[in-house]
Amino acid sequence: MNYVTVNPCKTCQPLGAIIAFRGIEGATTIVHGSQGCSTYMRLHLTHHFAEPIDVASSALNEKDTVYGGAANLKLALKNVLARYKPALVGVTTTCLTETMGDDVNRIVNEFKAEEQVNDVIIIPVSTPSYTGAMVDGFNLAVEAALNVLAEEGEKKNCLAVIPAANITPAEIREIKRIIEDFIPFIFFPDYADTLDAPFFEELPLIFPGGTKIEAIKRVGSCRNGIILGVCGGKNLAQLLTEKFGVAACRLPLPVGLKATDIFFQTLAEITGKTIPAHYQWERRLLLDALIDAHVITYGKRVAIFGDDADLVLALAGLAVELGMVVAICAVGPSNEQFVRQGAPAESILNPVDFDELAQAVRKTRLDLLMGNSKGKFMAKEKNIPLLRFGFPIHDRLGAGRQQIFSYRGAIQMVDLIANTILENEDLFVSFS
Amino acid sequence: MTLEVLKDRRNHIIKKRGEMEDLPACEKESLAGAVSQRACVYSGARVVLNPITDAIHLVHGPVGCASYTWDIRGSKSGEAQTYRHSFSTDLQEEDIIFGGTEKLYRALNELVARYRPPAVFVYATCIVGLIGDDLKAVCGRVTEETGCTIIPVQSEGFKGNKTEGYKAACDALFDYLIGTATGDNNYPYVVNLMGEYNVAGDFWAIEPYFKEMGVRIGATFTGNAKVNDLRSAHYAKLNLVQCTGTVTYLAQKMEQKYSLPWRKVNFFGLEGMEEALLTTATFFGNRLMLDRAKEIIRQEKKRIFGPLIFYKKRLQGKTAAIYMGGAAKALALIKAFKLLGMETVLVGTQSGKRDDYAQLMAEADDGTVIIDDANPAELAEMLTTLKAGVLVGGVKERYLSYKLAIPFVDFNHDRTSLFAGFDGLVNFARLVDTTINSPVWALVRGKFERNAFI
Ligand code: SF4
Ligand code: SF4
Repeated sequence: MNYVTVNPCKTCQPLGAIIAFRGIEGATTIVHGSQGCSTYMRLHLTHHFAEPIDVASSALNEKDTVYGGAANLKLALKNVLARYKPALVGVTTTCLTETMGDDVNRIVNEFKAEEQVNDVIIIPVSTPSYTGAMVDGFNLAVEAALNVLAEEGEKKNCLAVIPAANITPAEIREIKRIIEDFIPFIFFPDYADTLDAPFFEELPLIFPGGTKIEAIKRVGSCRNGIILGVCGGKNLAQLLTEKFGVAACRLPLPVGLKATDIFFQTLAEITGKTIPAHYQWERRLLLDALIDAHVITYGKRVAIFGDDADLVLALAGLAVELGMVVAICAVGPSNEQFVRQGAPAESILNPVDFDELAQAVRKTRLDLLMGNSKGKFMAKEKNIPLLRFGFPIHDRLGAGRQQIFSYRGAIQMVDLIANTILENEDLFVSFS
Repeated sequence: MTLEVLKDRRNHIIKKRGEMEDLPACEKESLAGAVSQRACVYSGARVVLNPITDAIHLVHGPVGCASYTWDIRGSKSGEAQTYRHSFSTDLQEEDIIFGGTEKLYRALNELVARYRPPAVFVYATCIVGLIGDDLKAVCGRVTEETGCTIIPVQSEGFKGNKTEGYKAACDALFDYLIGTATGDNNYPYVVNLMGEYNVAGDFWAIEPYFKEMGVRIGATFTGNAKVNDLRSAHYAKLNLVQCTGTVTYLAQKMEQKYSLPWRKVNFFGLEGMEEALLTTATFFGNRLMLDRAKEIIRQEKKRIFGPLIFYKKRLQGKTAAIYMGGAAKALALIKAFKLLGMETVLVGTQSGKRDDYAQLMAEADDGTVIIDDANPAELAEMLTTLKAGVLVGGVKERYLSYKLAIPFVDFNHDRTSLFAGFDGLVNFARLVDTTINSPVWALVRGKFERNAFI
């Protein structure tokens, strides 16, 4: 349809910004707008990560929209500082406050002066959602934080790694495991432990974990940088290179054999080290898994969709390695880079909503769907399985624990995809 | 209490001691920065209207507001599935600058042409209120041109909280649907169920009892409802109001205009079901119907007695905490816990009113803490200090509860378990048992065992 979005395949920018701020140690977030936006985002994040998620709101009401939201935002800041004692507060705007034209920078500076706040860092980020989507909000928040915190400095043997896509806490851990073997690094924003938190003896108000503020400052002294994402994160690569003089490159998400090869090669080039033997070994294990699966997956038709172009591209790459036919590659929010990259698919849909996607799905033969939970309606209608990846996953457990990166993650994926096909077709011939 | 509470929040929390007069402060706007569990006006309007199964629900605003409300509620439909789609005008920057009415107009025409729906609800979001789109005018124009009923819902989020949204929804129903068609005036025993949303199929669990009593259900507001049932709702002889927070306002308006009386009922819990059926029969003053109601209650009580005793044995002496959106459910829950031999130590609501809290106060035992518009930090401290054995709440509270090692039962609009009717109570008891008596809590509290394998 031309004027109606039916069953949207995207959410809004502040949501991504909230996730980014979770990746800073001791940080919390205020959504500057009416109460509903923040409550909905909390609900969405809670469903997905199965964690309690506190996000404050400046709780604007009708008269504030006439006189401006300054008083409410200041009160919100005051209460959040009193209650959570954060080291840093991210302030994201909403459609409402953007349209009202609130100057959040000015309000924050006034607040700091009035209340004599010197020891808490407050980072505003402009995230109107009538443009962009979740991943854009994430990237904008990362950019804002780097702008405020990072300092240009003498370059050291250090690698800054910044995700610019929808990656899970478990995937952050995997990336860190690998890079540790190559070079000292700063991973930012690191929400591994704050969005996949353990059971605590005593529940902390702000979950421990996140990139240390000290470390974010040093991003500007890293000789090299890697941005994970080729569709998103252009702003981050530019910032690193131009403002801080960090030699930054953008890489596809390390999903599947080839993309993971690129990741390792880049690390080897940057550090001048050879790839450690155990990764070579993991690579061979993946090759072995691919061989085991190839007959099962060959020629099988899959539709891949989501709101994050980089994830969709990455999944498509792996599907191709499995000999599958990517019938549809669909990304909700409009993304020029994605279209330009050209996915290896019969048909590419962008921008798209689930209504249009469902129509395309109806018209073609498919064996498998890969994407977020909202694909369940199509799966039901077509009576084919849906493997859940991306955001949101609100009808299954373990979204934050999913790990598809590197050779290791790919091995799990290969088995999962092959077994799902077997399960559905009920054609498994015993090898024993 | 050692709780450290923000100054402006202090009087929202109160502990019952004997015959006291004080109530917690309530009916206030949420404090900025306090992480309220509340949502917005728009979300309140969706609660009331969204279960209408064959209508189109179009959200006029940026896409996020629509995205977050797509298929998140557990209201079931026997037939039409239109309500499970999310429709949005997905306003872009240029619409914000030049106004969104043109896009809305075209969107409505497109929807009417493709779906031919019996009605379209158009929800206003904050941004639409701010840029001043005249919803009413556009809806009126499309109604005139296409003949399809287009209903504006004035639910700009910033007008207040959920309660305002309930009101906006009630106004929409009252002004645009109720009274727009004639109904059957010959049958004397017709009731409407109001504030029953068929969550997890609740409605289907209570419908048979009314049938058995010879009572016909005219319209349900709005569980499993169809637009046309609602049009002739004023032909009913009685409105039974369950979720008082959401629809009392509508019942009052219908009483004024159509002299249609209403009664408060509750379909959750033994006492609730008993009262609901007897209230209905007594209202109609029909001996036979009253006898039948009594017979149903006798039989059903006998039927569920065994299972209830089974669960009571497993739950007796445990403590419970309740945090609900509205007060009606909270009240029924206190009663249900009493029946199971459990004591309620904490009860709170997102947006209860003064007389709600007075009722809760009356029903609660001495020492129970009562809280209005709690935030997660307060809830966490309360649950720990009061040593709650189980928490009943919504999704936002679930993982907080889990992290505190406190068992949890979901009793919200997005739940998937049926709680209404006699069987609903047993089902509820089963779920409380499932979470309280799971082995996981012993594991959580246990210490690391070094010699486990020796
Ligand atoms: S913009 Fe308004 S209507 Fe939309 S979610 Fe936010 S508070 Fe609710
Ligand atoms: S108003 Fe904007 S920020 Fe708020 S929920 Fe809607 S789209 Fe998101």
